[in-house]
Amino acid sequence: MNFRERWRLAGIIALQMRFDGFLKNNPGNMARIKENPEKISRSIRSSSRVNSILSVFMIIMLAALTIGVTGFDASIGDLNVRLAVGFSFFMVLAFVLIFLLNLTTTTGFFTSGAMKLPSILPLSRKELESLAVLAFTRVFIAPAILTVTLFPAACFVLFGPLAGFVALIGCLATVSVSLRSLIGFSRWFETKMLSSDESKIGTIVRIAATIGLVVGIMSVYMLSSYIPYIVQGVIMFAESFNGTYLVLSVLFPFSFGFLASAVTPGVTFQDLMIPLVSGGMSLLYGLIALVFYRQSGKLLRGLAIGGVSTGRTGPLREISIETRTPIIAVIRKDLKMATKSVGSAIVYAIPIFLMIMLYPMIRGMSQDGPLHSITAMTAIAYANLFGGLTVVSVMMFDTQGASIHEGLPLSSRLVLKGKTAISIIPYTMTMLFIALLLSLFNPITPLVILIPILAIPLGYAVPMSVGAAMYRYKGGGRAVAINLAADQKMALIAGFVGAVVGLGPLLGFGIVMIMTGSQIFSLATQALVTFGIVLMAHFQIPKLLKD
Amino acid sequence: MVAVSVERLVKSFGSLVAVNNVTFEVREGEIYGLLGPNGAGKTTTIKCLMGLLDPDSGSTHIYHVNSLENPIEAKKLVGYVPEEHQLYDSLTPRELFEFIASIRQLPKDKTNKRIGEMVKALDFEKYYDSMIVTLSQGNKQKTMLISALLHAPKLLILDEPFSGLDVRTSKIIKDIIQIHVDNGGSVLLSTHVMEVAQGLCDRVGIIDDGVLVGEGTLSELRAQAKEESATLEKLFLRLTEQEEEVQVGVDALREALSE
Repeated sequence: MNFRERWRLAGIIALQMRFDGFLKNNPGNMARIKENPEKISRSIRSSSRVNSILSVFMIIMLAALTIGVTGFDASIGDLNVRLAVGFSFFMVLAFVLIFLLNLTTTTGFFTSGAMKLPSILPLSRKELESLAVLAFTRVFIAPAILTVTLFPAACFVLFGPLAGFVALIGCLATVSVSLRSLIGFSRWFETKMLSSDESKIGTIVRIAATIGLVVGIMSVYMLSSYIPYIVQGVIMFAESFNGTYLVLSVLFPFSFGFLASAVTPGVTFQDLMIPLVSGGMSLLYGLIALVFYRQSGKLLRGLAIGGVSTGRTGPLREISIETRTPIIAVIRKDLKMATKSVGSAIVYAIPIFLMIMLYPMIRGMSQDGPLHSITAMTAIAYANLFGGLTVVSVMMFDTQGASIHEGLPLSSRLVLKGKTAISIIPYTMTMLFIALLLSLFNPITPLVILIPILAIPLGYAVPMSVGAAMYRYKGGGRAVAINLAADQKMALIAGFVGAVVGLGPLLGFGIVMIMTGSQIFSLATQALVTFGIVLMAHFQIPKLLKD
Repeated sequence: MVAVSVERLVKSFGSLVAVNNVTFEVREGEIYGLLGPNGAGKTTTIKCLMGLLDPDSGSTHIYHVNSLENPIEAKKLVGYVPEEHQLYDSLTPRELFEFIASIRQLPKDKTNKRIGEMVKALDFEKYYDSMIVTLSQGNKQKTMLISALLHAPKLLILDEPFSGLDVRTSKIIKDIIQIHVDNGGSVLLSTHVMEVAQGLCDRVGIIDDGVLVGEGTLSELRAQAKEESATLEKLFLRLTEQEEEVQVGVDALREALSE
């Protein structure tokens, strides 16, 4: 079978993987797929297109910013190390991007049955291996191709053909290492996630891994704003200690960065050991990357055909069960599931992520003088946007049990209330964190701290509104599962609805502040509007739902 | 008393009419089999009955509760095992049963006794604390079955309950269905396994291309098809006008396989 034919077949397998993944992540669509198959099909196409476009956009932005900062920002270090660190940094970021943005798809690859059919066809082991690798590659082809073309091409034009060539080898090695790491980690992660280990340590490992992962995925979108600071930080750190550059030139992917810098016309290193060591290590890493590529093929074949083994039975315990009220049962079930999946852990991670994002913003604003109400309002607006995302993340838990839900006398209202109850916790935590941050940076009056405190009741209205909007949009009012990873459009809608609902009290605050200049009146208005919105959410939103 | 009543049900998906003016009843204390080839409209009919799909027209009732207008009340009376097994994969059966018992607000002692007996009867003890995703198809089916029976429903709706099951589990499920009916319950069973339907069902409805082409007991269907000693399979093929089609297909296959 020639490459073209294999590539075509791999495309079919990759499409099936996406299709399986979409239905697995949105089982609510299973029952309704016949109603509007074109819509589901369009949805799958558009969500994978949005994912690809986002990845492509991120790579382009990273490449442009890295080259801009390292090639032309003379305020950061000397040209040789700036280039070396910049080149390396792009590879590190590309690794992080490819690894984190594709992890959920990759874990799905091992549970998808897409490779089962080819495995019973008269194909050689080598052909199957190649098909598995190609199908896998096609899933993240866009960022991979861009990584190995865009950045090296830019380096070729701006820093000469040799630098471009080294960058190309470095990027190829990065993609290969990402692929291998992705497969290894996915295997470990899938096994860990599917373990029914109820020990506290097991649960902590699961939660820690998922939170780390989710914060990582979300941080990828923010990394670009910090490139100059990170490059500067690395250079400052390196210059504080003798021999750091030499040590860095040994490490992957810095060896490629230092080699690319060394072969750039006009760039010299005083310490000749740096280009020599980086050259030798680049060669070694290139070979390792080649080995990794081959290993990936073998692992993929084995995993894709055999899957991850998780079947086990534990010691027999008492059969009896504990019953609770329906609302508590919904909440408990969702919380249990939250400790067992990556997507679900986003709920825990959102306040942490928001703090990472808001800290530099509030700190920056405090440098111009005491903090005004506008800082608190901006922070709350961000929190409302993420409050919308939180409830959708809780809705992701229902991407499983459609068969159970179908038979249970469970009203959409009760389901939404359960999701809302879970979302209130991170929302409240976020508002308390914002109040804490504001209090740390010299607010103009202590009353500023009250703005996020008064916003806490919106922790009920925001998720109720967003949830109802999602159910109306996706299920015609019925409670359905939403999956952010598979359908990023829903994230945009959720963020938008959350932000709009949360805007009312802030607008009230702002208008009264402009009219009266009184913090007390403004806070009172904020509280009144909040109260009104909460009442409306409580009494009107259930009318939008359907059982 | 009528357990299920489906009247003039119509459901289309775009230009495809999946269920076309279907009317039937399931009487209290009987096992009613909904038979039909793949894609005939059996599952769509059941999903409309459960209030999971909105029909274009017609009405559905479960013990006189309109299941389209009041699906929650209807579901309280039903134990439903759908064809697809979309369970909460990351929970264990124990956690799942706790969830279901809580939603249905079942009394603890009675439920525990019931679970204990069912788990033992289905030889399910050793899987009780395993994550559902790790269970085999048969064990997932057992999980679904226990879930559906947990509240001692008046009506059992089973959509293709015998797919992929071993002999032991199939036998147990057949016995469970019989015991359920002996205790006064009713069963609506969708299947395309004719032997099962013939051995188990009191009455059957044969659905083809969304239309109910025949209904009644085996002897009533024989009379309808004018075939005195025909098996249900033969009657099914006759009523769905597939006899000739099947013969043509078999002949073509015989020729293809002999080459």
